[in-house]
Amino acid sequence: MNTSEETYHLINSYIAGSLKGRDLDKFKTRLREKPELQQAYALQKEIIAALEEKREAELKAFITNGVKNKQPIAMWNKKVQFALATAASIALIAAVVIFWPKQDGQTELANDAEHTEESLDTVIEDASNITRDILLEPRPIDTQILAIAETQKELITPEPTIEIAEDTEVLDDLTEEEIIEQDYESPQKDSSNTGENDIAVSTTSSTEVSKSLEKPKIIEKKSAVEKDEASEIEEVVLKDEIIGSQYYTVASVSLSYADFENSSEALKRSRSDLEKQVLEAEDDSPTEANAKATKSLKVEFWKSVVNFKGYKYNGRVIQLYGISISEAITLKELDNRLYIKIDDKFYFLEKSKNHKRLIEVTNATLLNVLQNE
Amino acid sequence: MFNFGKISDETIIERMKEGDEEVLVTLYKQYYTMVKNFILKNNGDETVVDDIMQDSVIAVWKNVNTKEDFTLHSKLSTYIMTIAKNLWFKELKKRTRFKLVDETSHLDQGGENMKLNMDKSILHGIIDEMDETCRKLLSYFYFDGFSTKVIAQKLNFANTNTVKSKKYQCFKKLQSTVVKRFNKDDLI
Repeated sequence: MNTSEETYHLINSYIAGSLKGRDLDKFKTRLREKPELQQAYALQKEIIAALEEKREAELKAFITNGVKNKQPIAMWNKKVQFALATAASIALIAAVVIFWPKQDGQTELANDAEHTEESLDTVIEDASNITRDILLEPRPIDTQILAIAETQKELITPEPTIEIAEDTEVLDDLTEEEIIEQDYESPQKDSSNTGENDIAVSTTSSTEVSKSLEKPKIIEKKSAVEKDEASEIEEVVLKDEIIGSQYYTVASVSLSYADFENSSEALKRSRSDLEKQVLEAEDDSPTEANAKATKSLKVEFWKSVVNFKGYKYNGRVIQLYGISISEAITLKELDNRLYIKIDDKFYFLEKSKNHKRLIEVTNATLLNVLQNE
Repeated sequence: MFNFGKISDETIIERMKEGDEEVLVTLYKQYYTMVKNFILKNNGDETVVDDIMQDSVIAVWKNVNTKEDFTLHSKLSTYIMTIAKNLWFKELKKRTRFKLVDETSHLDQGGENMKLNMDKSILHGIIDEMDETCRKLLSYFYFDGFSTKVIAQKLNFANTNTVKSKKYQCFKKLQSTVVKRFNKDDLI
């Protein structure tokens, strides 16, 4: 059985489904009529099917081997994550233990204690200056890291056998032991600096340090020096600022909507028609339609730190944010609803405890009434 | 939290088009749990998950390479899940007692359904004995659906014309071996 290259390609195209139109019809006719072509087609189809089966099995085996040889990605991820987390924790602890500044200071002081009295005085003076610098310098320190460091320190270094001063006085007057104590505890004070403006600067024992790190708390400061230090690093909190306030008369318009709803041509009405309607209503019943100035409201102009533009209205005072005091403002009340006119635009003011954004009145009928009044 | 080792959909498709078989393993691992959960929730057990997953991954591989200008219109996870769902529902259908009978199957379709009495294992054996380049070339062409350009790259051929001529030569060689090995009766 020998098929020509042309027949081979034709059969290929037919099996792949790429033979179309007249070529397809021709091939089908030939296939029906010629047993030789039928045989060639069947053989080629069988061989292709066998090739496909072999390749599929090969790929499946490849996948199975690949999956067996390597851990699934999800597992690998978890392992890598765990390894990274462990390595990072170890590195962090090691870094804290090795490079912790107060340990260096402590070692230095311990070594220096063996020197002569003169050199000791100099060292004490330097140490007190360093301590003061550390106290005054606000540094962001993670309390968790500190807790780890303190725990490490408790394990590695022996508990200092120095008597603890409860309330410090002027730092310059501190004894050597107290300086060491201060130096030892300074990071705790720094950590409290990062969290609060009111700083607790007091000497506590090392166990108290670790306790205070576990449960952060503010200790009342007592000395005047400490108060000065606290005020130096006090953060300035920006607040909304009032620019000014004015009283505005509220033009009250009580007009029944029913009058407008009855007429579908309300939009088309001219100002005179509306006035007439209001006057007629006034004659009939003073409660139905009134256009008179009845009360005045205090309007405060505020400057927001976040550039908020809106208002707050509690029924008595309107606080306007982001509106200049020089802007022409008109207040109108219609059906017990308060409207404010700023820069030729009417906004509805809702009584609320919260700050609200100004909502512009877009209803043509309502605008017509408000403008006409 | 982290997505170490997670390859983007675009990269997977690109690597598939380049004929990188390693990506099949990646795809399998990446979506195994998803497909497994679906099968277990739909009357399946763990024994079938591997087969469905393999078939799904290979179906994606074939679709990407066979269809010209294949583009992913959804997330790859959605695509593979759809394939896996179809395969699993097809399998479930097979398992039901009542099977649909194609009443037109007996009709003569003009020689198209002519089947040869050939032993598949012998045929597979002949393919195994083939020259590796020829076997790969024919497999890449018929099963994977690689373009002649990709085949030329994978098999280090000079150009695409070499692939075309070599493909016919290889097939002719295989065909003649098959004809020689089988009896004349088997081929009728």
